[in-house]
Amino acid sequence: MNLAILRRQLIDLRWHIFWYGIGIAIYAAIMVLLFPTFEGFLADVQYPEEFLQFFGSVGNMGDPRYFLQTEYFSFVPVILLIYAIMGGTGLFAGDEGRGTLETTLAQPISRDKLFRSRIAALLVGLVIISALNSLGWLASVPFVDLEGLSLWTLTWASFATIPLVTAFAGLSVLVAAIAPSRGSAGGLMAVVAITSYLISSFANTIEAIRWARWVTPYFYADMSQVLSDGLVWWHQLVLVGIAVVAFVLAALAFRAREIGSGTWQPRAIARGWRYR
Amino acid sequence: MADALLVESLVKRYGTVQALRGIDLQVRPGEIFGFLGPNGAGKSTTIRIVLDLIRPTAGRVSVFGVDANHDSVRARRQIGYLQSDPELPTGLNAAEVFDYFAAVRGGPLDRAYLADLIERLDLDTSRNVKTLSRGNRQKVGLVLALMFKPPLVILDEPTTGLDPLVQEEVERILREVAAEGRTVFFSSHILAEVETICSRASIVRAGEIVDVFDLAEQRRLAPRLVDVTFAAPLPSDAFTVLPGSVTVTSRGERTISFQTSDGIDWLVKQIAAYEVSDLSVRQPSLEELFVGYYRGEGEEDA
Repeated sequence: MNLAILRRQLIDLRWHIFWYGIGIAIYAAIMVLLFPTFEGFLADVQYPEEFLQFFGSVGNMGDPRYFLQTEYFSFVPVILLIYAIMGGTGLFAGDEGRGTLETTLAQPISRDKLFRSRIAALLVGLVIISALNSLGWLASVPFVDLEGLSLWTLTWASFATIPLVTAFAGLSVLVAAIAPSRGSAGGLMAVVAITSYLISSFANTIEAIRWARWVTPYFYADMSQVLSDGLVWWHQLVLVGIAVVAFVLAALAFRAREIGSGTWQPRAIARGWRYR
Repeated sequence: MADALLVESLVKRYGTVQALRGIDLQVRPGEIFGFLGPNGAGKSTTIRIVLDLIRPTAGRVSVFGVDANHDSVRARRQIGYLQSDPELPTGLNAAEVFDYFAAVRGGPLDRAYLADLIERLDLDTSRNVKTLSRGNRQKVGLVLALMFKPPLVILDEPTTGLDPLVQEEVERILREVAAEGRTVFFSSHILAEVETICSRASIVRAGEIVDVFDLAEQRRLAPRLVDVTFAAPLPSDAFTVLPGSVTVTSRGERTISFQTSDGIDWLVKQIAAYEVSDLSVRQPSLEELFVGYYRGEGEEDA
């Protein structure tokens, strides 16, 4: 780990981190503060089951757990995926596109060390965003009766998005390590994220494709039950596993990447074993 | 002592495009070595392999005996590099760029030498590098390449964008670097600047080394160009019978130009037979000598 690179990367990401954190904190506070307004109304409304299944949360929307699962926790991972994809694809590919990666790699620092330092910065940023998210709960929960739903539970749930977002960050770094440019990597990852989200949502609703939810990372995030039923531990392990495998493959691809060549380099993953 | 830079049979292919076709180079410690060639000849590709930014299809590169691709961190510890049109981390001023790379690189940094470089290149280190002109970014890149006092300085088109006074200062700095026993690998497509500063040079064209030469030796052996203007028109039979070492390159009514390698004594005596109104003797520039290498087909982008 090179601390100078980690610190520099965090400084580069600081405004992304700050505004994402503050943005979802405001979103969280608004949802909590709005809950009493909708509580009575929502308790009497009978939503179509398919509608609730689409968001993965089947329960009484008059209950703050189901309300926040549907109105907040189903959407926040999608917002954070933008951070993961932009941060993950920009980590090296953005730098490469600007030509600054060449300046850094001309220094006596190994690609592995550069990789680890920047990945660490990306993940530290994600933790900071989740921590900033807690400010939203802090600013709203004390003023609203959430029927026993504690500040601690909501804060913990905010951090529960990290495995899913980390998995997408890993996939983004991997795609960027073999793609010709940040733009093509970001575009591809956006398609993957949106397709994955839609498959996961429709698979909850349509019996014939129910099996398909198993292949999407969203299914394992458990965001639609994080407050009502908690997380399934092995689901989180699957996400962590996806992240670890993606980061390892990305590290191998980055080791062997031909910097500045502007071509797809899928074979770099296999060649990465040769370099250190 | 191992060669500062040794490149052996270096080949680089991009799909069907062959960027390098077996480059061989031997750069000795303490010399300023010119790496000449037109744009797209393979200069930057060679340098990028030396820095392990890209990997060779075949061949080997070593820096002071260290394999540049399989032990690249150790090899790069010997190198200071200026890329052509340097790109620098955004959001920093030049002083912060130097501090950042000093922290990334680790190891000792001679602050007095850094301050001296900044002063000699007349660099304003307080301005954000994003707002700097091409020439000032080039100065930042030059300082970055030199500030760690690396044993091998690799410069890719170092004087691009610099005004003539700064170019002269850069030349002085590079001569001092060589005088300290350190090595400068100077890549350029401008023959005149290589001629001014380098002790040896190689010419690369279309991914191949077409010549390696000692510039001092080249100057010693280079033919002299003699231009004469006579006071009166020359007789038609004047200078029609010449020894093998003298040739007439152009002829007018009262003017004549010769090229000679070792026939200068004979030529002066023959010219003295007529009334001379003007005479110049000069050596051809490197450009005149080697411009033929620059005219060639089959050059590929690299």
